Amino acid sequence: MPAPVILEKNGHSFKNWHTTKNVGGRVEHYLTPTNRWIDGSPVEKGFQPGLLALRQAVREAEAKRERIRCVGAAWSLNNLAFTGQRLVNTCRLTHYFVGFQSDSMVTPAYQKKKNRLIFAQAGTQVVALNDALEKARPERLALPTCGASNGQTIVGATQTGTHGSAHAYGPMPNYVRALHIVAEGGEHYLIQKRGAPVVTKNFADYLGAELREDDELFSAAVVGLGSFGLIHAVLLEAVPMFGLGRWVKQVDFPSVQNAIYNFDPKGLGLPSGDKLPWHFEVVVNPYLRGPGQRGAFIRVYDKFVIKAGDPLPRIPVGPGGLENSRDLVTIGGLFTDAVPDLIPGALQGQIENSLRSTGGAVIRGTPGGQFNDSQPTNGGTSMELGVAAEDVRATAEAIFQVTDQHVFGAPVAFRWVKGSHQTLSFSRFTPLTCHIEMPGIDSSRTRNGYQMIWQALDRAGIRYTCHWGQALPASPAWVKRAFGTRVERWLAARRAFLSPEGRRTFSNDLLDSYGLGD
Amino acid sequence: MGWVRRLPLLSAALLALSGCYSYSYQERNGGDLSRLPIDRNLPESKVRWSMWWGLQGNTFAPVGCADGVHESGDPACTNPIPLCDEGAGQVTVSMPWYSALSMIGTLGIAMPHKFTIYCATNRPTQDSGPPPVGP
Repeated sequence: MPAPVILEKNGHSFKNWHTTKNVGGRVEHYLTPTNRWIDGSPVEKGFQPGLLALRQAVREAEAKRERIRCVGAAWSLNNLAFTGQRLVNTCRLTHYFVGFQSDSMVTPAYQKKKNRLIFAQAGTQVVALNDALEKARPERLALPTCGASNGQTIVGATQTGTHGSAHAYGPMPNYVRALHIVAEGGEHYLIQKRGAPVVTKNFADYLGAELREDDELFSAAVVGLGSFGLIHAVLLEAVPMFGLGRWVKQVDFPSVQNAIYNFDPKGLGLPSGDKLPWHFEVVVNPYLRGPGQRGAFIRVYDKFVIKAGDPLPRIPVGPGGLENSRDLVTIGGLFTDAVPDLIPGALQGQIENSLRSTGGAVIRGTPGGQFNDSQPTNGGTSMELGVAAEDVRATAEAIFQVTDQHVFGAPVAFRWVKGSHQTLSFSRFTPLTCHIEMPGIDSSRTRNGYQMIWQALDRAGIRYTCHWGQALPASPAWVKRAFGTRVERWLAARRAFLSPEGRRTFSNDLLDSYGLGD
Repeated sequence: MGWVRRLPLLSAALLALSGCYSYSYQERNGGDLSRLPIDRNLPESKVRWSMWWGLQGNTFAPVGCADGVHESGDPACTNPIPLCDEGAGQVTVSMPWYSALSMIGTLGIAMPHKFTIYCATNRPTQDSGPPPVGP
């Protein structure tokens, strides 16, 4: 077999997508594997050079006793993916296929829906999958949910437990059906649930991988924080194409308070009436919570059926590009909080600009069209909590107490996700987890604000999780408080899969500091 | 009148800030017109000079390198390859901090610009059919 092309930079200065301060740094060996052979010979299976490159990279790291990690689109706002020794940029590993031809590759339960299974290499971005699934045959498909943006790689997003606001579905890892991981010695494994297998040994043989069917290993590795080895690819299950209708309304905070605290949309005048839409979200300017200040923004996306043969709904295109909503980190990143007195007004302007009211209209589009372009923020950050639905009021009040004393430029966004059973999913509260996100500029004022909020929640005894890809408390105590016995289960699954040396190889400083490296 | 003496320094500093300006072109897909996915982690950047008030232009057509030793653009590379397997997805042009100073200092004879190319990671799908199917 020929050698794969691996683009290598030594002493590379790595920054994340949002160029957040204190994220990234110098990397001794920065490796970008590709799906191309050095001698230019044709590639029989599209993923083969990339897979071989990852196996080779692991062996080289082991030979030098260096750590090795993967980074995707670098959307994480912390150093979860980072190591300064060997960092693999997976962005060029974008081979994918949609559906299987042969029944022999899938279990009987999946033979009738084998066209809905997607095999995607680690660097495949959500935008590429959205685009491909719209064109799938015999039926058009869609990802069940996404992180309300489309620039993340599928593995980066799922490894950190990314979610949208699908209160009836859950976070993105929910549709991962198998993981293809390159582990110690460059050996590679196809891991799926024993209780609900999707593919047969024939598919593992097609990949050249060893098939592992293990519920506990799968549940831990699917939100594995990139530390079970180098993830080469994932197998996903899509759903038939559906449409999403976007509706945005600016209101006073008191009028939406009940909806936030009790997850009850009665009286809001939503297009779905008093029924909860597929995606329900409220963004609050914490400094304009009074009557008449119009400091709250309701954004909903409701599902509608797109029949086979119907044209796909498209978002209107404006003079500057697509007229869709920006993601939340972009909101925070568009202004600085250098002058605290200006923050409430500046923040309001930015939210109004980013969450433009639809004037009562419902803007119809595909999931890929609704969750579209995102901009790097040049120094943005974000902090996101997960709390049980019954703790939303106490958490919000604790946050507002902090923001009343310490002004910093971040809105407070509330979203709800069905609780997840994946071991270290930060959407862990069942039946419903409320995610409360505060995106802003990475200044000392913002960092102090986050710290004060974590401390306030600790004092109040509120149990919370934190988004693995966003700003995290420095103290490791939150991990145990957030996940309880799930931490031990996760560590046990990792210990059963990797030797002590393997665990060291695939860990990093951040995971070590949280006691998750061994 | 200390500020008058500092005026040249202040002017130079403000001119250097013009290096923060940048312009980008981003390719889009067919269908939902989403932006083409790019590899933002490995851009290719180079400062290029346009001379003689634009009479002498400058085309940037870099190549990559796959010999595992040299970086793209290194003339010692033993295995040059196209820079981007799937073409460029985004091109950004910005001015280095010394652009305005150079333009003024040389009366416009020499004007540097910084080109940054981000490779697309999937081809644009304007004309593509259904996605590939597995085994």
